[in-house]
Amino acid sequence: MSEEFYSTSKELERELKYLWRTMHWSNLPVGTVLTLFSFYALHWPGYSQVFDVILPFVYVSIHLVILIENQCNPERKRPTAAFYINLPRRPARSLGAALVFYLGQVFYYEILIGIGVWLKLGGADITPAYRLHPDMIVLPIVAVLTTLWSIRHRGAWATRLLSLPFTLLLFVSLVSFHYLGPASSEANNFFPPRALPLLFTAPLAIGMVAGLGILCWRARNVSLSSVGDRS
Amino acid sequence: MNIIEAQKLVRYYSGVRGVSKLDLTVPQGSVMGLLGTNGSGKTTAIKLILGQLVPNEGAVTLWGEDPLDLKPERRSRIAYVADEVELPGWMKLQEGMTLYASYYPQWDAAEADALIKRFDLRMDRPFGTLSKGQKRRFFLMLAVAQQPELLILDEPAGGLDAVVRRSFLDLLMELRNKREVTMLISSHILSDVERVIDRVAFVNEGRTTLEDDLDLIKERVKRICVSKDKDASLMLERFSIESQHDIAGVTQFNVTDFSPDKMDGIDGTVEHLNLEEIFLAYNGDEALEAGQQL
Repeated sequence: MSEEFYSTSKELERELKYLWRTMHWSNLPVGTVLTLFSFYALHWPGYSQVFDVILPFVYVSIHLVILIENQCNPERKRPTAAFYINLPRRPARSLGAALVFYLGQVFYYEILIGIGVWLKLGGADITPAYRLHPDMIVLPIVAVLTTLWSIRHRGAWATRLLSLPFTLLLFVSLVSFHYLGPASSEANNFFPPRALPLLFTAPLAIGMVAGLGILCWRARNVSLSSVGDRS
Repeated sequence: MNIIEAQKLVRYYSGVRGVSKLDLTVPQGSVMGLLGTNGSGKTTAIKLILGQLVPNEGAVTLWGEDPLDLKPERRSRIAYVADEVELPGWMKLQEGMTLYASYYPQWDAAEADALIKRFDLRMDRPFGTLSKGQKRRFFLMLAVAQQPELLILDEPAGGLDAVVRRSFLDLLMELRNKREVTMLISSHILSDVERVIDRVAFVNEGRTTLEDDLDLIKERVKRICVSKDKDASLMLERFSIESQHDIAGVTQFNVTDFSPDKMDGIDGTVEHLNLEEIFLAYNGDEALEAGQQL
């Protein structure tokens, strides 16, 4: 009985059920609604909606990072660790199940975005969006993998530390998209004009990076004494 | 066979020692009380034993294995109720129990139902709406219903009212007598655990100051009261004195190597000490000096 109970398939099944049970029931419906809503978030009437198609990918990435933090990071936090860490689980299989669970959700949301683009929600146009920013398609996958890796290895500190270059990259990408991209023309589906001045976006970027830096430093002491930490 | 063996454990917290050269041996079937003042290192010791923290120095084994390498089959035989445990606030107790039970092949649903009634738990309530005592009862129920071989309880009676505390201590007695569950109980409320434990380890400033069978300790540690200087001198010669106090012309000696033979020629009264008094005999002065709260 014991051998069967701890077989790979049973353990993976148990881990998937664990993730499903610890996810709040509203998470998937809210994620679905907000992903579709994000098509309209930066809707500028009269202009191309190329930019709008990027936002759902960014939103899905943030949504999944928050979900992973809520579900997996409690294993590293003191009060909840007492419950989760002592469950008889094999870390490698827990990680495998988490990858299946979260990448499954990425797949679901990407299909949802595909449907949104197909329906031209917010006036979105799939061709120029995928041509100009193919990196956005892999953004949720990178976000999921990075967050899982950091939680497994260094706790909240690493998540926030890694999010620093991640955020910087995002801003560099957005800024370059705004200022170095081709001028608005029929060839690029009338990409929107330079709406935000650098004077506005740069302080915003610096403020966000500084905020993350403070969070990162404050979380440092927590991770040093975290569960099973060999340091 | 020893279930837990810890040797010279050291763990630092940001450069400060949480435990310092801590030794502990818990034989199979025994009920060990890990006793000490607040902040003495009891919880850190438990986390090191469970593999939730890694020692900076020393070694600890569970069933002869490094706790970090324990397979799920073995870990499922350990139940741990921490001083502070949380679940997602929205999760109903029934859902939490289902989640927990799914990890234990030996889960006893009938025992869980009996404990739910005994502890008066409402399983349709979300976890976030429970008081500290109710949360404690819920996790105690989970720990016992999983049918553990090793039960580790960190301050188990904290937050429980008198009625539930008595019921819980009765439950521990049942586990000890009927199922021979090995237990490690950390507490600073000594009167609670005295009824249950048969071995004791005193921890002070992260160090084990005494570890032995409770009955043997009670035989050895006594308070002897004498009123004459001659008897007091003999006391100092013959006994190992842990502490002494002069009260209204009577000198009280707390001795740690009592034997009736040694009392020949000494005119004094021998008092038996309870666990709290024994603890104070060993740690009281140091604890008070350190300004710690007993």
